[in-house]
Amino acid sequence: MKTAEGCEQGAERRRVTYSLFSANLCRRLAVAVRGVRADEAVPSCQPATRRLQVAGTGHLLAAVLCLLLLSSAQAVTFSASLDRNAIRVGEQAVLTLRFDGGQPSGVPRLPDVPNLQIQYAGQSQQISINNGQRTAGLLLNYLVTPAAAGDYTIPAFQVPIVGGLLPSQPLALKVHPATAKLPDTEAYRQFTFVKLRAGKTNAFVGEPFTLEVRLYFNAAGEIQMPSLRGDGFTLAPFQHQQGQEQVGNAIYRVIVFRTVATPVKAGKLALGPAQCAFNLHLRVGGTEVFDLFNRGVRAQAVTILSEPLVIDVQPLPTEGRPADFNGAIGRFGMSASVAPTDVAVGAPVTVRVQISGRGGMDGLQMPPLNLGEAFKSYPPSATTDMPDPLAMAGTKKFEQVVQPQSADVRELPAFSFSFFDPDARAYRTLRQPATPLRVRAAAASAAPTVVMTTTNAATAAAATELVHIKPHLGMVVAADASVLRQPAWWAVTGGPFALWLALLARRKQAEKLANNPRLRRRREVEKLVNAGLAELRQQAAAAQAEPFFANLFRLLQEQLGERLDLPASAITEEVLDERLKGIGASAELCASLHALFQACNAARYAPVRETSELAKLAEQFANAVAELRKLEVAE
Amino acid sequence: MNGSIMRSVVATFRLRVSHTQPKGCDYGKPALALLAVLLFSCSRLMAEAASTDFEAANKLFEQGKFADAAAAYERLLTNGPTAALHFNLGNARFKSGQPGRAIFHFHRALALAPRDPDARGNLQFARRSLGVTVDEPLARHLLRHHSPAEWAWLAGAGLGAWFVLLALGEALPAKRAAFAWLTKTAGVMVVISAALLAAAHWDRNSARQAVVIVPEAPVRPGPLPESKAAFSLRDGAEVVVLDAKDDWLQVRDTGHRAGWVKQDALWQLP
Repeated sequence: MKTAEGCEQGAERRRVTYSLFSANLCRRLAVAVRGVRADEAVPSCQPATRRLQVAGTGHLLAAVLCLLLLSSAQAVTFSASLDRNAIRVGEQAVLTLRFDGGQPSGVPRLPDVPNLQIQYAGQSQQISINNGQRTAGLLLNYLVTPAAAGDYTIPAFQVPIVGGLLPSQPLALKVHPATAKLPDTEAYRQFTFVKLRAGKTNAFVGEPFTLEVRLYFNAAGEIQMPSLRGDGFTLAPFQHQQGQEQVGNAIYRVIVFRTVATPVKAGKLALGPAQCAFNLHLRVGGTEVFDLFNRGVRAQAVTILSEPLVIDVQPLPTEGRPADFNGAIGRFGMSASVAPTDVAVGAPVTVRVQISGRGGMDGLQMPPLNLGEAFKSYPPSATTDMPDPLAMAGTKKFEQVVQPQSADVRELPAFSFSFFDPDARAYRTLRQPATPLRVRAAAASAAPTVVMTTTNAATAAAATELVHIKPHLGMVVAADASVLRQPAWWAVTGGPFALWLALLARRKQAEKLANNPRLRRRREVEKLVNAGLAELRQQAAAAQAEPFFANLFRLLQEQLGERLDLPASAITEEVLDERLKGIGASAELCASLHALFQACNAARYAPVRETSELAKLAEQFANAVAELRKLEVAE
Repeated sequence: MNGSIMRSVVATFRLRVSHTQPKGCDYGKPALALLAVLLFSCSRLMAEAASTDFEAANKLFEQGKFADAAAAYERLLTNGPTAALHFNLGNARFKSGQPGRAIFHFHRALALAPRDPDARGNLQFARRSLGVTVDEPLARHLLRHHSPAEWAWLAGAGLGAWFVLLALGEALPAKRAAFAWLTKTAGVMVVISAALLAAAHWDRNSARQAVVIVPEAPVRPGPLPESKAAFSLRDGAEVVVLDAKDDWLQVRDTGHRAGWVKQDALWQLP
């Protein structure tokens, strides 16, 4: 058994296995009886894939004795089984003796089979809770090892219980040579197998029934959808779900693939075998606990087959078949409604039909309405509400829009839905009576324009009638109404952007000035000199020689001080030769500046000058300033 | 359309005035004012005339003359579309037994008025009457809750508000920290609205849709009349246009079947 302490909970059956409990009890009893250490008494029960061979009748006796303590008054049942019926020489099969409702009163004596060694391998106990009822089972495991190839039969044998003996059934085991190639189904039966089950084995043509492919395995991956041979059947896509299930004394992982098979012809039809392909994970080294990366696991690609089924398919009876029968098989109920029933000619009327029940829901069709020329009809639409993933039960809703073509129409005709009930083996017909209608002429004044402008999204989503026309034309939309062509959009977006850019540039400039005193001084001097030059020209025009020269001298000092990075008060004529040539001033510029300085000095002694002379000096100063500003100075 | 017409009229008028007026005289401003009054009066008259025609078409509809009403609505479309015009035209087409054209016009009405429940309801109704249900993904439903122009206005207004906050931060550096959270939030909103605008644009332009407007449109594996029809599309079937060649369109229907259809069997949604 793979997980002796495992616990499985299923919808139908709950089982709890307590082998550890029994093993511990056995160990204690063995210590008491034989006087050996507890660790040596009885090995713990191990998973089936790692069974320990426990030889010796002493241990077996101790186990049987301890289990006697757990005996109950229930009737004891006994069964013997092999985990597989075909192996190769060198492999081992597992023989399991199962006792339910009690224990053997003594050690079972297994028959001797030539060339077949049967060795006790341990025991475990299972406690199953089925619908609240607790049952206990004892499992005794034996390893069966063949010495030669051949067909073997383990004959029936009897096991002692309190008050008598219980017989077993003969068990067949086919042993192939060690080099023989067994079909995957046989070779890996110990680890995996597949079962095919049908919901019913007697069906009618066209009657859908469920089909299950149950794949059992211990460890596997890359599992593909099963393939299934089913000539004479149509098969729906597989749905699958995963779980665990106990088979014999082992717990398997199981994937249940479900589908719906529908026979399309009569007769005894073979269904299957189901074929499953996947990678079986076989442990070839290491232990599960320490092998985190599964390095000791080998992936073996296997393809296994199930046993096939035979389905007896009968044709649908022709007797009593309704004229409107269109192939629906199952058990159904029908409800229908018609709305609106007061309409104008040409206005839509919606017929809703709801069919609920169990059977082939996919094949259900809208019952024919037989409207004739009095109505114009549109194709029906259908929606399904099926909690069953296999679509074998649920509700199918149909809607069909019809338009009365004249005011003479008085009713929507009656209609019916027929189906075949396979349980009752008879046809059934559900009828919907005629629905009265009031149809008005289209031009009648009694049909005012209904303007439904207050409907909301919810009613729109569930709209069942055409909303009437709108009375107002509304705003005409320009054909080239692209937003990018609208100045307002650009104003909304670009205006703030331009404003932000301007303010950002202003801040950056202020920061630049704040971090550069020379630049700031240059800007200030530029303003000062520009203003001073204008003043000079006015003073020249007014022949104000004294303030003219004072102003000119001050401006020369300010401009040269800024260029030479010296205080304005430190600028004299001597500085020109020392510093100005060092920053690349031309000889003409230096001479011009010398002349201006000398004119200023001379004016102190002979201040009276003519207007033209002052104007000429002002222009000379302006030219000199222009040349000075061209000089490259470090900032 | 009216705006562009008026702009072109004004430009032409200014050109004429500048060529005809004597030197020294400026007739421009009074002439423009007169023209504005004339154009305004004309536009009012045109609007009133369109409204009168619209009501006449509605009367035809009420009288059950659906084909005549549809023709009248179609004539009005030449003046420029409105959501109500497409909506009423869709109704007239549906009642005339032309569900494909009806679905086309309901789509056009929804493009102009994306939150109009009436247009949405009638579109669903027309689809259901054909036995078709179209499940619109939630994301597409949200994106189409606004027209591309509305998304653009939303993103543009968000962008403008964000720049205003940035400009305020520049103008009032002392208080910039106080509303920095608002600026950041607005920036995030701008990014989100821009992403939504891009998604809406992609949604509208990634797959061109079309509606079958003939009773039965054969779909062929190749764009040739000799190609054998693989299946056919019914009137009102909505398809996605994948490719075009000459007067053939490659389409894919809701069942993911693809093939070539003659162009005149479909109306493509803009």
